Amino acid sequence: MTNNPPDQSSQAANHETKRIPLAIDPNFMKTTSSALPTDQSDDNDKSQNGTHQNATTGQSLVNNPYEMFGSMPLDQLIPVILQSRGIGSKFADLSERVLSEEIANDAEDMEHVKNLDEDVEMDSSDFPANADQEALKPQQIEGPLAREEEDQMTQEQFQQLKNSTVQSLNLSVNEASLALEFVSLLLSSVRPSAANASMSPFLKNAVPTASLNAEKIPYEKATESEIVDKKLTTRGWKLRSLEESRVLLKDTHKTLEASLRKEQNYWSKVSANTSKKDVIFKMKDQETGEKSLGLKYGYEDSGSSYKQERGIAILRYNANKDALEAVPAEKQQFESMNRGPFEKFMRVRIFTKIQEEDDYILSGETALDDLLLAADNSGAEQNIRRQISKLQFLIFEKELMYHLKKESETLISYGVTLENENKITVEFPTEKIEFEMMNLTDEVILNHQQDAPKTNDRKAALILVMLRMLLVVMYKKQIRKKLLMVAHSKAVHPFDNEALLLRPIMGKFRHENYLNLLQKVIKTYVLDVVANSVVTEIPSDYRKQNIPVRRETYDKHITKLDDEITLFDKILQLPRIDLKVELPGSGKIEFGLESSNYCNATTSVKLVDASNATIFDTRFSNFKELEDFLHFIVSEYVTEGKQE
Amino acid sequence: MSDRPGSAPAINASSQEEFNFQHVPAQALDAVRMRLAQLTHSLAKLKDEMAKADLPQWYSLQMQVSVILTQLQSLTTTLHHFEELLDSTIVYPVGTFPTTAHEGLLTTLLRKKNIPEAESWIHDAKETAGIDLNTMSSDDVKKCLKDDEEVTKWALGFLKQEHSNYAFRGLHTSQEISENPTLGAYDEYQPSVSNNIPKQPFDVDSILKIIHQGA
Repeated sequence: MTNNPPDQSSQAANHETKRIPLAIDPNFMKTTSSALPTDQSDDNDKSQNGTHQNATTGQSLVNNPYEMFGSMPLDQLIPVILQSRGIGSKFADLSERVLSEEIANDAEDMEHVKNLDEDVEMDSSDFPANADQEALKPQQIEGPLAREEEDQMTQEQFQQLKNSTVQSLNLSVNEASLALEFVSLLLSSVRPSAANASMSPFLKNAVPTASLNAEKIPYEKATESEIVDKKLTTRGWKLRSLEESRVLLKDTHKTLEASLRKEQNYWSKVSANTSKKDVIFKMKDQETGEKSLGLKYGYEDSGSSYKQERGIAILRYNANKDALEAVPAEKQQFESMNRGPFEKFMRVRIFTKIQEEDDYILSGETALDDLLLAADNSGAEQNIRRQISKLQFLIFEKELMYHLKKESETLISYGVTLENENKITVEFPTEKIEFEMMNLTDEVILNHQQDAPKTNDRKAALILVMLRMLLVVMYKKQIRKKLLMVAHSKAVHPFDNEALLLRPIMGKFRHENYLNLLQKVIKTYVLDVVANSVVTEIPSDYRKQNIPVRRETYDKHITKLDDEITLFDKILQLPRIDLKVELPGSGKIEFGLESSNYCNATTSVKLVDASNATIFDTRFSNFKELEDFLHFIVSEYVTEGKQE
Repeated sequence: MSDRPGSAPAINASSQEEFNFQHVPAQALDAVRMRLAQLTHSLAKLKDEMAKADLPQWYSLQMQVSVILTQLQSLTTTLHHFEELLDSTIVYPVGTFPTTAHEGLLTTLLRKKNIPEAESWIHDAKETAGIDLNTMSSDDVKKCLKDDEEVTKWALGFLKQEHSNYAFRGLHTSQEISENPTLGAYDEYQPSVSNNIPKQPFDVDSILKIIHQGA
């Protein structure tokens, strides 16, 4: 409320917006004139009001609309002011200082009242929303709609909208409560109990019931101009509502159409690209928070026991590319934990030792799998099946490394080194094989064909293929075990026979080396010493013996699995070779080179004399001892005998 | 703002005798009062929820707004029903009203003028109406409004007709239903409402068991 000191009141005519310091804004008093039947109390009817005003000025303060104050002669205005200040006040006592103090007090009172009852809140809070704010109000109403059309709303905008909504709600609550109070108070004279129920405690406290009365006046039909006026308002509101509804409907239609198209695309793509072989289930997309479909690409159902990754991808629709994307559910989480790139593949490299030098040269390397290469045509790159295959490939590689690492831990004494979490090196006398998980980066993909072919490339590739096949065998064994065990017990221990990946391969190489060594030893200590002695390999039948007795299974799945596993027997066979050295006239020496764990080597030596009696049958795990022993038996039994 | 409570009943009692309240339109007022009470309650509730730091769910808000709109409609209908009676009734304070102490309250209660906000809305609406009373003759204005009414009526009918052409529920188009009335007879889509979803619908062990040895 603007203070308008009395000494300036004569100027008030020039300032329509200036207010008289009354307890309540006169703006609202205009219509509360005395009970004259002619009072139409219409807002625009100022002149009419004015005439009442002049007639009633002396009697009642509340009949004065503030517009009239300015045009009043001072002799009328001053009594009005005095009356408003209560009985006993003097105009001479009024000063700017006193008035500003009063305003300050009033403000406090208003706060107080506000707390008592929000119904009268408008006295203080809403009235300041006068002329200068009116211009803003309509914009606020239009504001929300204009903003809703924007795709994204900032927090600030949202807050602004919310505030304006709360403000409007305050307004409506105030108006509604006020109306309720008024109606209740008026009703209290005839229906006290009903009225009491809906009157606020504040009103009950301040005003006695039945303190308002009503009279009936002849009903006046609305004038034509009033009807037109009302109709115009209605029409305006209708047009505006229609316009807003149109915009709303159009936007909603657009959104609906877009999402319908999106859904349609999504589901048709899902149905086109997945088959009954895929495992698909409902899943929440952690990244976008949307409900979505999950697709299982991991090998858990195929017998994998790899638990480091769940092997689940979200089937996400990329609207920009109009394509489905299989995004691994854990990818973002994984990468946010700074554990390096999610996509890794295994590379096998072979280094050959340079003679006379303690250094290695790279002699073979596996090539990048076709799946990992950027597809030639962009269509194929977006193909969801290709993406899934790639994911399957990558998780398989990671599992391979996982088991390799576990296996290597036990093989340290055989030249296997865990260089770091992504690299395993296996050393042989003449070469070194490196198994390394490489990050699948763009650079790697781009540079994959730059190196010239090397001699051992094929060997490296074969080793990698072999490793993968061995992992498949592990899967199959696991499935078979589950199938067999379920009938007996629920406890299925994953891979209780540990990983067999590196060892069968290492075994082959090591066995070859041991054999060379053994033959060298035989040559040095037997063949070179005993004339006409010949070494031959004894074809052995141990393979047949080693085939496990086919269980009497009545389940064809198990039989099938058994058959498939048997295919790998040759690879998984513990290496073994039997050699026979014929000693002319002195019987023979039989050598058996075998390994109990693929990596070690034990040599059995059996000396049989000419009369077919076994003289020695012993085993060595050390070639030095073998050498000594051979030297001993040859000199003691073979050459000695000959000399005799 | 204090009243002497002791004196209130006495005045009250005497006022009942003193004044003749026969012109207070009790029935109309009570009807209005009840609707106003509902509306006030709903509005206050919505206001409280909106003022909270974390907003309620949008559908809850939407429902409340829809309730408020219904109550508002009901109030308007009631007011319209009693329009003549209420319009020909004037209200004034009797002597028992503490006019001096609660002058502000009285004027506030008896206020009939719209608040500035409402005033500006009405003004705004008139501007949107697109009819300039200064330039148009009153006949033209009337004709314009009449046309408007007719167009509105036609549009309403058209909308109803259009609305009936589509099936807004269920899984079938309106055409399909009209060709085969049995289609829309019941709700075919039955979302799973049961809360007892087994945690592991396919127990691996039991399935393997069935595979292995039969059920």
